[in-house]
Amino acid sequence: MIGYVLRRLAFGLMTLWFISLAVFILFYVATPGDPALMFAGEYATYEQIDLIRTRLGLDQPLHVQYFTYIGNLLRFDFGTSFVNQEDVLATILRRLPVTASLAFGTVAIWVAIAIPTGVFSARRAGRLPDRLVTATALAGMSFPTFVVGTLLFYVLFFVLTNAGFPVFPSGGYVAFTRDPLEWLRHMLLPWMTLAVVGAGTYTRIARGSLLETLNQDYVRTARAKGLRENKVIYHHALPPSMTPVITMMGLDLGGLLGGTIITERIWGLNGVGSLAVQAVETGDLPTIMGTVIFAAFFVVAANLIVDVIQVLRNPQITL
Amino acid sequence: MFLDIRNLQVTFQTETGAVRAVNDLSLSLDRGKTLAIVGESGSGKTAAALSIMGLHGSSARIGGSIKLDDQELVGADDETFRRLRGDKVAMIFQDPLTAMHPHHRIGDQIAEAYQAHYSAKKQDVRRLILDMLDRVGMTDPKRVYASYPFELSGGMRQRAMIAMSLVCNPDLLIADEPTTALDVTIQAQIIDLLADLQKEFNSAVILVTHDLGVVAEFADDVVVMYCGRAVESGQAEQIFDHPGHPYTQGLLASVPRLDQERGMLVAIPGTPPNAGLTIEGCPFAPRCSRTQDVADDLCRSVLPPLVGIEDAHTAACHLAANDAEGRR
Ligand SMILES: Nc1ncnc2c1ncn2[C@@H]1O[C@H](COP(=O)(O)OP(=O)(O)OP(=O)(O)O)[C@@H](O)[C@H]1O
Ligand SMILES: [Mg+2]
Repeated sequence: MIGYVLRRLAFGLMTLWFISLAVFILFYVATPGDPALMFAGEYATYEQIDLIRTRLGLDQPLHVQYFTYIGNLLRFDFGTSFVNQEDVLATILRRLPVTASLAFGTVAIWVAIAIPTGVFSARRAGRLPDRLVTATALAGMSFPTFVVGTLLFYVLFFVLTNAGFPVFPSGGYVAFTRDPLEWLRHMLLPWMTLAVVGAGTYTRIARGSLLETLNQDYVRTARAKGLRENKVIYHHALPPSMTPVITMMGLDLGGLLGGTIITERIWGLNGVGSLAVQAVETGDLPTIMGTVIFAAFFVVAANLIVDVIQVLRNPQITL
Repeated sequence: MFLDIRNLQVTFQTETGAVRAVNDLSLSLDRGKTLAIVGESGSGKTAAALSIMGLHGSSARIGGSIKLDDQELVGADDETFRRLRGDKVAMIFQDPLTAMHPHHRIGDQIAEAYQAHYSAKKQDVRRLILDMLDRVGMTDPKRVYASYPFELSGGMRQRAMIAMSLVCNPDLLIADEPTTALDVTIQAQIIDLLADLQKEFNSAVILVTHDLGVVAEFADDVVVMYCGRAVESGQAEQIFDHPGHPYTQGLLASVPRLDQERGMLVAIPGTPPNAGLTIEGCPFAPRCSRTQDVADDLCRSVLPPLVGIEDAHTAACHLAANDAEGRR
């Protein structure tokens, strides 16, 4: 078990190193234009630009630049923003609660919808209720996020507010620590935006996996013992069928923590996703690099955690 | 009669059409007796056995009558079956590895079978299960109790499965090819164990098997199935001593026998017809070596009914009655 975790950890670190290398090549070697020019802005003098070049180390040979870069990464130093000279890591961490609220809430909603619906559907496989659920899930899956977001914005914010029921705000974020209720009120619509799209996918996965498990011999044995159907489903069939759901959850959580661009934009959430977009728009290289590496970190970490959870769930793997 | 099955039909609705797995099967079984169901793969043995437990999925249509202690089970509701399963009727499956939950401990899996029907204190249940594990020949019941299925050998797993099936002391035990997935050396042990436990618990047993050696050793009565139908049934000695159906004769000829020097192994040529097809005449006719003995090509046009050839011994062959006459 320890050995397995260490192996997975080593693999994760390797992945991160590859990504950091790709980022380096992309931004130090293959970038069109001079980073120092971007940093200096339009009205800088040549002397200023040269000074900046020296300060950023851009006049050094490439391998020296690389070692400085990797050394900084290892000290969690992502540099300072070209735009406002703020520490990149501090900026990302300040925005992380917004993105984390969105990510964890969304995944929780997905699973909260998908598991009961998947169970409901699988128990009625092939019959009308199952077909309706499957069709609805497919419809949900095929809506693009921006369409769902715009629809929700129009109906649940605009129409409701104009009708005199300002239930939901138009956007923005209130920290949980400041006002949990307001936090919830501000997060509900963004969550719903992402929930519509993902819940369908998760429902289909949960349904399909449970159906497969229900055909297993050991489920027949559970019935042959005279167990009640609920116990057969929830105690014998459902837990083993959760494997693909947990895997997906890990991947999606990792991805969402890296920032959700469209949803953050629609609902005016200043999370990591909108930070990345702003950085791209302003050519803020250190921030772009920081958000990319940060997103990669979450994907790798989530994968690692999921792998360990899957191992813990299976008593057959003990080491 | 404790178990009385009349004209059982099991039909599966599939995408390619209806498959009739069991066709017009009748059999009966007394308390404490053993009935063997033999037949090639696909002959409907499992389908018949599962009907008694109500374990078929929604794609199966069951017709005819299954009476257990005078209670009609065809068309019974889920709750009736649930109360029956594991308590009055228990089942042992072919492959104990896939039949046990991979993530649950053996002890818990057995305890669940008991607690589905009876409530008792935790320690009492535990004691009962350790005792059951001991009775099925486990040398270290406590260790087995805490083990997961993958931690046991195939033979031990099947013993645990047997303990699970007997924990409520069922009146009827259905063993569906309980030794097929095991090593040859273990097979005999498991059969001996089943025979011993049957005496001890005085359960009726339905033993589904390919293995005619096991049948000879263990069964009181035999039903031979072919293509979903009973083609012959009778007491074990009757079937072994003078089989009435060419298919049974073929099966017996294909068993290597210890009492014969250099027993010849004769496999029946051909394969059974597809269960989805409706067949005119005798389903065995295409593989039968004796069809030319029957006048008017009757074998290919008329389905032979089960005819009595001696007391309690019937066979579904146009030749069976004649053959029996000739013997007398
Ligand atoms: N759930 C099902 N859906 C469709 N057809 C089925 C189903 N179960 C069984 N059958 C078909 O019914 C026939 C009888 O199957 P059954 O499992 O009862 O045979 P068997 O005698 O137990 O064979 P084996 O010795 O291989 O276990 C086969 O043709 C099989 O393909
Ligand atoms: Mg079978």
